[in-house]
Amino acid sequence: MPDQSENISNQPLTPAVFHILLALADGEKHGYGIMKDVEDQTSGQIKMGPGTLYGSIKRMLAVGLIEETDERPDPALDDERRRYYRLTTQGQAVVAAESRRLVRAVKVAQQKRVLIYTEGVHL
Amino acid sequence: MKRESWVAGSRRLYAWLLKLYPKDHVEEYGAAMLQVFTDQCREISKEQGFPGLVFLWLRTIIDLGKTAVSEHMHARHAGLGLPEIVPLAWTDTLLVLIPSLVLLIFYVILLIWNTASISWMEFWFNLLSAIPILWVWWHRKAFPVWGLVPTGIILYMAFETIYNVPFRLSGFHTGSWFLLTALFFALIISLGWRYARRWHPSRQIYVWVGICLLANLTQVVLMLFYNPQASHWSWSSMFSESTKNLYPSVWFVVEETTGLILFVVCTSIFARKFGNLSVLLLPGYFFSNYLSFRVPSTTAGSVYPLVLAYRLFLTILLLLWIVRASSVRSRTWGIIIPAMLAFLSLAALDGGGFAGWLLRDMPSPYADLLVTWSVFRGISFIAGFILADQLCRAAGPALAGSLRPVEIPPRTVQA
Repeated sequence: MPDQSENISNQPLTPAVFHILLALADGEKHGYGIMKDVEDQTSGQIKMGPGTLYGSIKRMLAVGLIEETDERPDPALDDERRRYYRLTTQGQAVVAAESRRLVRAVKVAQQKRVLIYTEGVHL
Repeated sequence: MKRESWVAGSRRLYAWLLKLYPKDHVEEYGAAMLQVFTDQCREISKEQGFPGLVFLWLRTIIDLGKTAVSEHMHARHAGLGLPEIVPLAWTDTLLVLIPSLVLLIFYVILLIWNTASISWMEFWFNLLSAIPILWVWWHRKAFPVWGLVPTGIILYMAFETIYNVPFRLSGFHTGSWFLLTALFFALIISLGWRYARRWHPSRQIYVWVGICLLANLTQVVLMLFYNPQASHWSWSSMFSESTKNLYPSVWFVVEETTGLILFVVCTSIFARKFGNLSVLLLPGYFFSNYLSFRVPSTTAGSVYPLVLAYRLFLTILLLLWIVRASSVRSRTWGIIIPAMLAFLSLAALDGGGFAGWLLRDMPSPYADLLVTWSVFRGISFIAGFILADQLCRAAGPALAGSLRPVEIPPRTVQA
């Protein structure tokens, strides 16, 4: 049976999946934590709703990009209903591959002068 | 304090709206989604107050609409344990096609010589087709798969008879039968309710029953607004003509709804035996309706090829596609595409026929009404197919060991 994550790593990820993977790159987070992180990463350009967040999480769990963890950073301060997620090894590989793909795309865009780099700001 | 009540109210409303998602999705993620939404509400109402909460709701409603549909689409393919599609053997396929082939011959003859005697022959053929089915059923203790199409036809005949009874009774239009109609309607709804409680049909079934009911109710409203005498739509006719139109309209809804519920029950029963093939009941049910539409004499010659192609498609190709499909995708398209084509052909031919009358300065006062009827009947037709399809899918897990079509030995075939 083919590994579904192989297919995912060979294809561009959806913005929601990519940003969720990025949000989990620096450690496990709960749903609302992921949502806030994505909003910060994108300067508020991507605001996920609970439906998009958990729909993506469900599919990422199914293909083994992330996993649920029972550990709580601070159980005394945390709500038991929160569910925490972290990247799997496959998830780390996929987010790295996607990031490399995007870097290459940005380089091509710069070479073709689609992106003009001026004083530290991409225009 | 006020802010807390907004948050609490939003939480309650979102918890209720979560019902729009598939049941298994809500069981798995509903609490977490509600928790995330509550966190969002708390933070936004604290930072931006009531306007921020309103914008959050706008975003959330869009998100909910998109993702609920997406989850249902995923659940449809992955969550219901769709059984393996087994194409029917060629021998059985030919047996399935025989009744519809005979019907096609009748309808071709009727297209050329539209006589009462041929109509009677067709009627008796349909009725007598029950005999071999019952005979095989009794002897083999198994309902034959080729009996599904004729059973659909017989069900329709029985139903039409029931439907026409009130129109033949005096006093129907004056409303004295209204109470009886309402009681009958209530009885069917309560039977449907009991059935749903016992068999737990999937959520999609409720959606399609709802769409069909809505389509029929909309038609009743349109009929109430229509004034046949003036041949135009009129708000005032709502009041002046309402009594005249109300009872037939209500009876129409009763008939359509009862038919739909009857199909939910019948298709489910057959689905437990034949799985996906139980959808064959539906072409049978709709044959009489969709093959026998009028072709106005003025336009008959020019539409013969189209009519023949349409009838050939419905009676032979549609069934062939359904029974020989070997994959979920093929079977699904095998149902949806012919259903759409049948509906479009019907609408075009009916519409064309009425347009012909209108061009000959012989306006039919009921033309708009009948075209509307075609549209709504078409919706019911398509919805009925999808409904049966969903029923078969929903019945999948329960059918695990008994999904193979009934094997019909050659000697039974000869009998």
